[in-house]
Amino acid sequence: MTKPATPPLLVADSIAKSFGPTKALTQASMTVAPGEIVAVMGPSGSGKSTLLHCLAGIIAPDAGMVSYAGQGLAQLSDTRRSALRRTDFGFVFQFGQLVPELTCLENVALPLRLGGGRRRDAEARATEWLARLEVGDIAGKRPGEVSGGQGQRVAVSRALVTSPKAVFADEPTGALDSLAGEHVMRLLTDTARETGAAVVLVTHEPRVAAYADREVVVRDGRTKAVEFA
Amino acid sequence: MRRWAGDLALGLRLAVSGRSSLTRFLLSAVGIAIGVAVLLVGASVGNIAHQHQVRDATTSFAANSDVPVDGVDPLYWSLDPTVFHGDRVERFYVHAAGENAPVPPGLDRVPAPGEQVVSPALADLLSSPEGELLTPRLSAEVIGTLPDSAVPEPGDLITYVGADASFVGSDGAVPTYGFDPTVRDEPLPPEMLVVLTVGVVVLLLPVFIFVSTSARVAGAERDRRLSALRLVGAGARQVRRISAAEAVVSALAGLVLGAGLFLFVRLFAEDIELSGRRVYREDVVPDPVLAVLIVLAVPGLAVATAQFAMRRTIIEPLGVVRYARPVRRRGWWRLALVTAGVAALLYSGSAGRGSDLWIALLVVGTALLLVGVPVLLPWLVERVVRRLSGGPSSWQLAIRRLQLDSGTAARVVGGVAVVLAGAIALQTILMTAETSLGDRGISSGKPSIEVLVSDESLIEPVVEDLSALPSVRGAYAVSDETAFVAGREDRPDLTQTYLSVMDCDAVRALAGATECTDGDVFARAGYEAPPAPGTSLEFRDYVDPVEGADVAVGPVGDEYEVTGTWTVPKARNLPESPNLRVGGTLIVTPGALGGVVLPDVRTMVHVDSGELTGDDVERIRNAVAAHEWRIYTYVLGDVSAGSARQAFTTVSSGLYGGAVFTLLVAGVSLLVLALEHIRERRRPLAVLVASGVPKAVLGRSLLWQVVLPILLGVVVAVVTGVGLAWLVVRSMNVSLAVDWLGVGVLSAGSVLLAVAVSALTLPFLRSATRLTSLRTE
Repeated sequence: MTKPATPPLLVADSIAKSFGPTKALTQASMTVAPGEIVAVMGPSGSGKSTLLHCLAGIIAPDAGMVSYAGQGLAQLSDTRRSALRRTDFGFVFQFGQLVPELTCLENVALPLRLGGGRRRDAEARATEWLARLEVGDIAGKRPGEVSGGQGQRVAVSRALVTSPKAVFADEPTGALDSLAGEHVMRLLTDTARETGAAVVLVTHEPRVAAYADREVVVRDGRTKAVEFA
Repeated sequence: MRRWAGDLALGLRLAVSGRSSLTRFLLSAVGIAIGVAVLLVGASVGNIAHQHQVRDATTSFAANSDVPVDGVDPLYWSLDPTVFHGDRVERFYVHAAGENAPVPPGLDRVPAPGEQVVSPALADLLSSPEGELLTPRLSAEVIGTLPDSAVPEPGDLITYVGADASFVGSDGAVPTYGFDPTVRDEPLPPEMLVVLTVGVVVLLLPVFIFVSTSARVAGAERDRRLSALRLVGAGARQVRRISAAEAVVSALAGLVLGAGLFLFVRLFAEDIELSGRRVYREDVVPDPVLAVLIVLAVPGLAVATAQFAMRRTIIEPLGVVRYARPVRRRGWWRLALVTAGVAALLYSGSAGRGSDLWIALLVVGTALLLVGVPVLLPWLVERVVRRLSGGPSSWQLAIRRLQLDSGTAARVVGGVAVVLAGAIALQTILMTAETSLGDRGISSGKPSIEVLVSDESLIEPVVEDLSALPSVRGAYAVSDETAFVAGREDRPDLTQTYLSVMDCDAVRALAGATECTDGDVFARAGYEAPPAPGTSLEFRDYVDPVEGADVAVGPVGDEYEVTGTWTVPKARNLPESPNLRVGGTLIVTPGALGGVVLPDVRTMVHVDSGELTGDDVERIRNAVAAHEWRIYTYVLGDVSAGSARQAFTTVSSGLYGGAVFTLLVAGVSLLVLALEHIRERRRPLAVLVASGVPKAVLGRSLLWQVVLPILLGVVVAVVTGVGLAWLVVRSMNVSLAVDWLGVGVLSAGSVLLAVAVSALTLPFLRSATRLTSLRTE
């Protein structure tokens, strides 16, 4: 494993996680530096999504340690972890993460409003981000009324609207055609680089992983780092 | 605080956004609105009853008001009601014996002879074409209308008719020196209490159950939504607040709608008649404390239910986590609940009827049994479907689906079942009460009409008036008298004999005797044996004690004079005659009395008629109306006298209406649930179709998924409903009468509802299973 030059933003150290009798992770370790884009690759069922969820503090590992900015996530209360997801993390998943009842604009403004922000301010920022991700014209529509590619760009807008330190993307192009997928990935990585956000990108597509700075492969619950030439 | 406000605002926003949320919101709001309206009406019952009592008391004569008061002249009055087309007309004859006589409340003055003051409903009736037939009985000039304050109910038919001085000496005229508007609380009859108590529980419980059920409709979608919120940083408590706000917004909308519905229904309060009772619009005012309780309890219940529904669910950012594997439902506490209800109702039989404990046990027992239906049903459905297997593909698909999750369907069906159980119970109780209380000994079609004549001089005119009618074959005077075994002052109850004195024409017409000669005495078949021939009987005239008078004294201190003695001759036997409604054990023709003076003669003129149709009875009443207070017409088995049955029909119709409406609301819940189920499983269903499963099989599978829980629900409801009725009726000491036709109609309605719901889902199933559903982009 190559150590980044700056102190790592996220560290997973020898984590293990089981779901009943199924061992999802047995010995997984990785680090993510600030602003770094890391692709987590592996075949289906290898444990890559579980690793992402552990890194984001969504689920707690059974063994090992996950830390963010030097602080162990296991030590944080649920409220604190929720606040972290709201302020420091952003999420882009394959589907299901947008609230169907809210308009695209309201969806993007949601993390700001959940943090107690004023509606007007939150929606002004959300409008900026939707425009930046080239979906400003669908602000008033509901997720069910827009295409998959547009929906994912709305999700990216929402992930970045709080200026997070880290964005977790789990198969963000899995439900899109290749053209739309390329578009979303380009916007996600470009914007992340502009804002200095780290991206943990789970994918099984080498074409998507190519947008990352480096790659971590998960196989049978274990990690293996791959350096790009 | 701003975070809280923000969370609540978000909850409100989510509650009304999107098609399914809006459907759920509307469904819940309408259901809660109906419940709130019912609760507000329930909260008004106390005020309605109180105002009724106040008005009733206004028209009541004071206790001991016959004791003379210095400077006050007596007002003589008698209540001489008549019946018109089945409605009772309260006819008060009044006569002021001086200028200082008290005036009945609501009247400016005591009506003079030939004048009357009537209630508004009676004024309307008299001025209508229908009222023309009543006019001969109420022919006095209408000089005024009673105010609402002097009429207990809007539809009450009341009149104060001025009587002349001859009224003062009549039997019924009672002097009064004042009116007392003090409200006297009179306890309700136990039968009415039972119906009311069970009725309130039966009608209100579905309200709460529907509020609870509606909070769970589209629950899976709500969980997914909340999970998405968790992903973007909403805390667990925040999610609960948002979910609570979602529940509250439906409840608040329901409250507002319900209040509106209540006010709307209130507009027609005076036109709505239930069990022959009507109420004034201004009396339909909820008790303020109860109204506040409703305003607080309904949203509280909605929130509590929403939170309770999430008790086994952890909303996590990645989705919904149910606690470990599905928990197998335990039956013991559910059965314990039902057992406790049964025990309370069984024990109520030994508590004093009408006592507070009795009512409390009835309420608790009924509530527990009815709550037991939706509580027991998910457990029962789970147990039954676990044992099912095999069958065609559609059956297998449905069973496997129910085995995975039968809870939601069973809960919604629970709402239907509790309405059904309540309706069956209430209907059975009403039917039993009606059977035991109503129409005793009355045969329909040919009523028995008797006219009580207070003055002997009126017998002939009354007989003539009645005989002149085409529907009357004859009118016969019958005097009932009591005679005592001479010399036996002890146990007069055992030594008295009842005689009915009538001439031979009457004996032939009324008693069915073929031969009769004046002087004959007849013994009636089916009655107690008359005194043996040769027994000496005496006629006694009970008198007011007068100092110095020579009187005999009976065992209970009554003083009487013997007006004559009579030796019982040999009696001929009369065949049993169901139409002979006289009190005597012995039928005596006048010649048999040999001139013995009878004391205090009470003469009834019996009408012999054929089948009476249309307004024949009204015309008979009119024929003798000119004699005013001097006669009183009894109509037993009146063609329009089935008021108990009429009340039963009214209440039954109300129940059917209520049950059908609630079933429809529950049907909409089922439909929303079924549609949600299709939407959720769109892809697997499309995959099945793609792999060659016919859509008809999927349609039938959906049908089984709805019908099976409904069938079990109907069985539980019928058993609970009839069982509850049996337990309640047991405490009334009457035998159970079940309206199986009604039970069948209600049960079939529930099953039909399930079939209709399944049929309505078919177009959605067809569109959901298009192969395009397999596409994700």
